[in-house]
Amino acid sequence: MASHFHVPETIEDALRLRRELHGAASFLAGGTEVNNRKAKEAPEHLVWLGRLGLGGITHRDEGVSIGAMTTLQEILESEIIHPAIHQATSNHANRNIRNVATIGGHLGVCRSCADLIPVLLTLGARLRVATDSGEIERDLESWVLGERDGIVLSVEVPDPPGDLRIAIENHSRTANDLSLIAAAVSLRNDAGRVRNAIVAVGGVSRTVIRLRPVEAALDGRPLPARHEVEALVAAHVDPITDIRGSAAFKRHLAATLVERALRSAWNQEGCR
Amino acid sequence: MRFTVTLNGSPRTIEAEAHEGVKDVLRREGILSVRAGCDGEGTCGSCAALLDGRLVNTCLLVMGQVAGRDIRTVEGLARPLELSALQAAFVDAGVVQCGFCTPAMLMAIQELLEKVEAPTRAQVRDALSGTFCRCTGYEQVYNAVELALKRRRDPSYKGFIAPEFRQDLRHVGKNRRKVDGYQLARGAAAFVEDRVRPGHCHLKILGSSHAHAYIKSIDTSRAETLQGVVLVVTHKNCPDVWYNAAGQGFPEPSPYDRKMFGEKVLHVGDRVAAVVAETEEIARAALGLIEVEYDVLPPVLTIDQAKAPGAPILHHSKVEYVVGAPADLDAYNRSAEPRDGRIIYQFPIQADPHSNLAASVSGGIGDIDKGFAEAEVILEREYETSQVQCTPLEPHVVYTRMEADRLVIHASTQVPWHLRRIIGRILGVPENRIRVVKERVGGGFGAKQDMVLEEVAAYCTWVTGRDILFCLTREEEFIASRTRHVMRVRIKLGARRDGSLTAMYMDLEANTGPYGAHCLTVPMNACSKSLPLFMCENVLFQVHTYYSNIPPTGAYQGYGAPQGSFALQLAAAELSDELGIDHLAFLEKNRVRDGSMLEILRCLGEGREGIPQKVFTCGLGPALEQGSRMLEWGKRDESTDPDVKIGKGVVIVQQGSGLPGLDMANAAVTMFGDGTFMLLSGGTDLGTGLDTVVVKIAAETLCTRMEDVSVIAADTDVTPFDTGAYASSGTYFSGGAARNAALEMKRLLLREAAQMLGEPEENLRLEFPSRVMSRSGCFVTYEQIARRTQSGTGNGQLTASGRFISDKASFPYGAHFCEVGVDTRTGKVKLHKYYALQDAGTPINPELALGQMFGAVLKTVGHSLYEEMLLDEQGRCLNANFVDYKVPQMGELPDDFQAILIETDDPFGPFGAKSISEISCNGAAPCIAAAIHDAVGVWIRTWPFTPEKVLRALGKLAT
Repeated sequence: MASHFHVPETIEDALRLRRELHGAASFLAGGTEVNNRKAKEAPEHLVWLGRLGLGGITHRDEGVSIGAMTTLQEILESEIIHPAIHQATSNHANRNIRNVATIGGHLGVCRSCADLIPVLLTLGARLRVATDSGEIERDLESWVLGERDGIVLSVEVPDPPGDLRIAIENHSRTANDLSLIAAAVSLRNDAGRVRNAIVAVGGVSRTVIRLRPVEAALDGRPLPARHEVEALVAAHVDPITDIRGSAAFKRHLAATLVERALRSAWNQEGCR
Repeated sequence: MRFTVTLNGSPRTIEAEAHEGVKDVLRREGILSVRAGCDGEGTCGSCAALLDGRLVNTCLLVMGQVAGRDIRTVEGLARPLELSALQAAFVDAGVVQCGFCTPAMLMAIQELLEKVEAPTRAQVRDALSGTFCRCTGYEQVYNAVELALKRRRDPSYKGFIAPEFRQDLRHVGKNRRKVDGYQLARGAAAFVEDRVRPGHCHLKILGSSHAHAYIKSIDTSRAETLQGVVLVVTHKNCPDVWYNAAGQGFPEPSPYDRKMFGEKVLHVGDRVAAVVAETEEIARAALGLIEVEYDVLPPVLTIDQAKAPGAPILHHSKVEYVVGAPADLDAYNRSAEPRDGRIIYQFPIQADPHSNLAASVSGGIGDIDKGFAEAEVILEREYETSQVQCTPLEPHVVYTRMEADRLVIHASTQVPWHLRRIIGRILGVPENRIRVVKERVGGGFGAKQDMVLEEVAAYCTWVTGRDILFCLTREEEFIASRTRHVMRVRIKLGARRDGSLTAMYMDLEANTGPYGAHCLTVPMNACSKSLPLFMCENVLFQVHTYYSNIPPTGAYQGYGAPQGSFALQLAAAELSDELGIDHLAFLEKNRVRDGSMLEILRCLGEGREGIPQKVFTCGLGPALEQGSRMLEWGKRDESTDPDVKIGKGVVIVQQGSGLPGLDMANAAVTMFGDGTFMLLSGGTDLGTGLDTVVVKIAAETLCTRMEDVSVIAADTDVTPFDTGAYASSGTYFSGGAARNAALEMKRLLLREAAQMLGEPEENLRLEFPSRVMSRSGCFVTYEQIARRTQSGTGNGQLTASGRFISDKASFPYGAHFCEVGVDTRTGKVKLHKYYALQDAGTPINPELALGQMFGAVLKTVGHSLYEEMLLDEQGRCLNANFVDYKVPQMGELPDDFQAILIETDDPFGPFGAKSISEISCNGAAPCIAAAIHDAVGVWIRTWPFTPEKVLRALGKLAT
């Protein structure tokens, strides 16, 4: 359990605290991860981001900006958020957790089974991040796969083009469980051909990943038959066996869920 | 630091550290309703409160996050002596059982109703999505919400809560606010943890890190010298008394095969040492200072490993018998290993511990060979069940203290008297020096039928004189309390082509884990609560129970019957399929009915000769008829989703109503000066509504108002003896005792009234409310009788006692129906419909009876679809928490979930009542498995039926 609690009033102070305390400090957003008493490593210092004015969802010129301290329940209740994000958010844990967990914390912890990351990838979300060398903008995929330094200030979700089709699928053991596999896809149907497909899957790797070879294989042709798509996906995921399922099961599930999401997106009348 | 918050509407300044957990601080501030069930992992929701109007788990927040904010808990919902409309609706709807999670549920719905005018079912489901309740099965929350909403407009609105029974009776069979509802819905002090006094010590256990090992050496010196450590106990300084922890009637059919601390540890988490310290932190620190050297032995984890030639032996002990020692005992004991200690059997249970055999039994009726020879179709199958945990929301907890020279034990137990007896023996203290007070129990489910931690705290208090709180963590609850026995059941059935059974053979092997608590009786009950459902002349059963190094097993609601029922009912479904006979028609043809004679029970008597029973009332006929109509049995349904196949299942179930010839209950009624009564009941209410049952029965018998009968129950100093709450005995036995005590009080009332009125007793009768009426039209009130009997010339205060024993078994029967949708691509099984129809005789508390049924079904949907303890090769549990071990919650409710009470009038139970509690645990696994087969054509013979298993059965997974 932590023994110090810091309440910085500015981003600069927050970054400075973290810098000065080296590895002994953790940023604290909602607390559903950091305050978990069963967490393996408890930080000595908590640097709470609750006084930095990072909440709120606003519509900007070409998209929606979600402040990092926005809770998942606030996202679910917002009327200007894309319905696919709503759907992914509703899959996340339960009401008690969604009332506290924040989108910033969700991205900071960046679990493999994070429910919102696949759908945000399909929407081309970008992050505003405060770092020691100033504020930068990063695309979500680089954040997920790369170094996660700094404080996420907001998630910028561009308004999708009118013909973008999005679908998500997930599987969890019980409604309250972490997603075992979470998949999201987006694509355009260009005169009967798949274009600009994004296929993102959680639960098959250390983080959520995009299946770029699958995206490429689908490009420029009608969506192939079910078994072909499933085989394609299965060939490009490499999950591990753990107590929640064997690798074979997870591979099968990823193939099934991605195929379902692709089929569902493909068959949509239009979008949004 | 000082924090100012608004707590339940008033500003409050709180002294705390910014990094301190909000739940702990709130409890310190006297807010008891925020409770702990998951070690601060945030998965159970028991600590929920509203923060700025939103439901949050207070265990996941630290004080710095809530400074200046608005916190509301259930304590703020109503003024003293009142319930808010929502609290009242919860109690009225029967959705308050053990009450441990009730405050959390209430705050969840409070948030919902503040935000949404008229919530939909989906919104109710979402509101409760983070609250884990193991008792109620959630379904009645919908009724509670509806009641609360209707009462906004019409405060007197009663609405339909549950069907009522017995129009000739005033209280029995009617929906009445449960007597502890007020206390529990207000989140008032009720549970063991609410009883602690300042300055108490904490007890922590050092658990073994090995599944099977000798303790080669143990050095506690560094721990003992740590400032704040009061006592360290190990096998070296604990009492040298061998006992069994099962809370069963004496003499127990379980071996005395353990000491408080053994020189040999037999499972991961087994007791190595106990530390008593001034604070929890010091106790934990001291555990880390104990140095233990183990001599590690290979672990035995499965039945096959346990019975293999040359297997490591868990109890190579010196064996003793109180009665019935075999002639060759000395030779048997020659090879005993001194470090393994002793085993004392009260009487033989056909054990061979030097071969890991904990107990065995066999028996039968008719001629099994003849039965199979007559069969035209023979089916042989094998079924397996995995280990599941009871998961009471309140982990095992005890608070012990001295009062002068007497030991007081505040316990969360199902068996206060067994606890007193066993602890008295271990401490060498007579029973009159020990008081066990059963507090409100935050879920028992069988896990609290055993003495899991009480004797350690009791001993430590006895030798130190200190108040001691000992509470298991959730992880300890998984690995060191009690679980359902693992079983492998081979079934062989013979039948004629017309579907009539000619022979039934049940070969059952059970894995009891490290100690033999219930090792004979749980596996035996798997036979005795499943075989008598079918009328067959030739029956043979065999039971073998083995020791192993898995986490301990024991009693779990259903007591073996869910496993036995899974095997036999599913085999019956498979046989029907093989015969080409409709499953329902097969059940109808072979089932038990009114008047059936159950000869098989002669050989199923818990270690002694059993009593064959005649079935006086059996509600299976109407249950099957009504259930098949509700489910439209025989009609094939198609899903709109081509990937989903729909199937239906049916099973029949039974249980008992206590143990005839073994159980005993007592009660006493005392009249107060104004004609009201105090009922002293030995019965142990676990949230099941037993206190309400006994009050109703007494008030009904005495023609008085329920509120004129108060109850004190299960306090060994105050109330008379009762064997305890297990084997579905509460209503039948404890209720029967209350009935007999009240009948005795009635006799006294008539005697006194006869003297006062100068009329013969035969002219008098009790009349509601609270008077004795004569045929002549004269009457005396109970108050007049009380004043007179308690006057200087009176006969003395009226006190009456009654006991209940029985050699008759009143069996509750039931039929369960379900419809599932199986996703053939993901393997996921979704429950569309689940109907539990149960014959409970006269349901005394109808709304609570339904709640018990919903809860039992949902609990066992757990082991059918989701729950399973996973062990690695070293016997370590890999999922001893609620993140990894998934239990069904609100989101897993069947879309259409109904519990139906089938009324019968039992000739022996009080007002015709039979039991409720366990029976509805026996249907889910076989019913769902049969429905899966109906949907996709595969039989899955091991629970849980996970998506992965379904896909494998469908041949869709490469191995």
